[in-house]
Amino acid sequence: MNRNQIYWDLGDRVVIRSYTLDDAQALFDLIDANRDHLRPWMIWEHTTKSVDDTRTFIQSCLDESVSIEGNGIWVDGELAGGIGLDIDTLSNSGEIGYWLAKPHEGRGIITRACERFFDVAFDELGLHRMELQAASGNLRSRAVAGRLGMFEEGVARDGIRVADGYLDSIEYGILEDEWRARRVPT
Amino acid sequence: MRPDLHIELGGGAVLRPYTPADADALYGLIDSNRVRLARWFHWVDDATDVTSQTAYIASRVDDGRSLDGNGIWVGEDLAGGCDLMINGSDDMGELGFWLDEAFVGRGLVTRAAQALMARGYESEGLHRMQLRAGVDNLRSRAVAKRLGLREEGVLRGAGKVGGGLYVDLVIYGQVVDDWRKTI
Repeated sequence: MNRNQIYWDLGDRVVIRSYTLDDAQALFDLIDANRDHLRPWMIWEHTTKSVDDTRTFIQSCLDESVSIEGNGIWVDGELAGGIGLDIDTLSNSGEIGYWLAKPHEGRGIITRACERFFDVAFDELGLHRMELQAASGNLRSRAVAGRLGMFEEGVARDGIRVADGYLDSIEYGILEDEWRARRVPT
Repeated sequence: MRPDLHIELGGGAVLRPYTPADADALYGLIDSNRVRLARWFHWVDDATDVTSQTAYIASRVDDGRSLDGNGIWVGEDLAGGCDLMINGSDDMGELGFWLDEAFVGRGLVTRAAQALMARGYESEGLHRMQLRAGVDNLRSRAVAKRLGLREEGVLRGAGKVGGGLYVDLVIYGQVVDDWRKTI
C-alpha cells in the first residue's frame, strides 16, 4: 500500500483520498469557512492563515513514509473534512485524528471513515492497538470513540493545546482482538 | 539531543548526552542488564552489538527540541539513561529512564528527571510532563510518585517490550502549576 496515495470509496458518495498539492486551495477554503467550528479544538486552525500553509501541510504529509497523514474526506466530490493515522512503530500502535466541516456533521461520516482506517490498521498494517485523543468537552468526537467501541482509559490533564490554552485529553484505546470481535459478521 | 546539556546531580553524578565514544559503555551496560530491561523496553531487542549503539547515538541529532540521548554518569561509569522527549505542538514533555541494577536505590533517576523537568518547564516553555510506566514496573512508578506526577489512567497494551510482548502502561501527568507548588 502506498501510504501517500490512498483512495477508498466508502459508498454512499463518500471517498477518502490522500491530498495532493492541487487540493491546497480547497483545503484552505474549507478551513477558512469553518474557523468558528474548528477553533475550540484544533490548534492548527489559527496557524492556517493562507493557502501556503495548507500547501506546506500537504507537502509534509507527502514526505511522510510511515504514517498515513493528510487525507481528505470527500462527499459528492467536494472536500468535507480530513483524517489521518499517525503510526508509532516503537509501540506498534496508531492514533487516529479527524475533523469535519459543520454542514456534514451528524451523518456518521467520521465513524465510517475511522472504521475503514481501523480495518486497514489491524488487517493490513498489523498494528496492535489504536488510540484516539479527544478534548473532554468535545462531545461529538467522544461519541465517535464510543461508536467505534473504544475504551476510555484515562484523562491527560491539559494534554491538548488549543488557541485559548489547554484542554483535558480523554485517552481512548482499542486492541486488535477487541476490534476483530466487533467486526465479526452477525 | 542537546550537546551542551551538563547537569550535576550531586555525589559525583552527572547527566550529559552520549558522544560517539560512549557506544561501547552503552552497549555493555544494556547487555549486562538485558533480562531486567527487556521486561519494560522494546529497544533492548535492538541493542544487538556496539554498532547498534553507535547508530543510536548518531541518530540523536541536535534538533533544538528534545533533551534525549542522555546518560547518567557516576564518575567515569555509565549508570543509566534519562531523557525528556518534547511534543512541541502540545507543549508537553515525556520522561523516559533506565538504570543499571548496581545503581538502583540511590535516587539517581529521580534527581536526573527533576533536573530535566525543571529545564523543560523553565527554559523550554513546557506546560505538562508525562510519564508512562509498565503497570508492574513498581520502581518506575515509585519514581513517578516521587516526582509528584499524578496517575491519570491505564493505557491497555500500549507498551511494546522485549520479545514482542505488550504491557499495560500507567499514564502519569503533571501540569506546570502543580510543579510550581512542589518547588
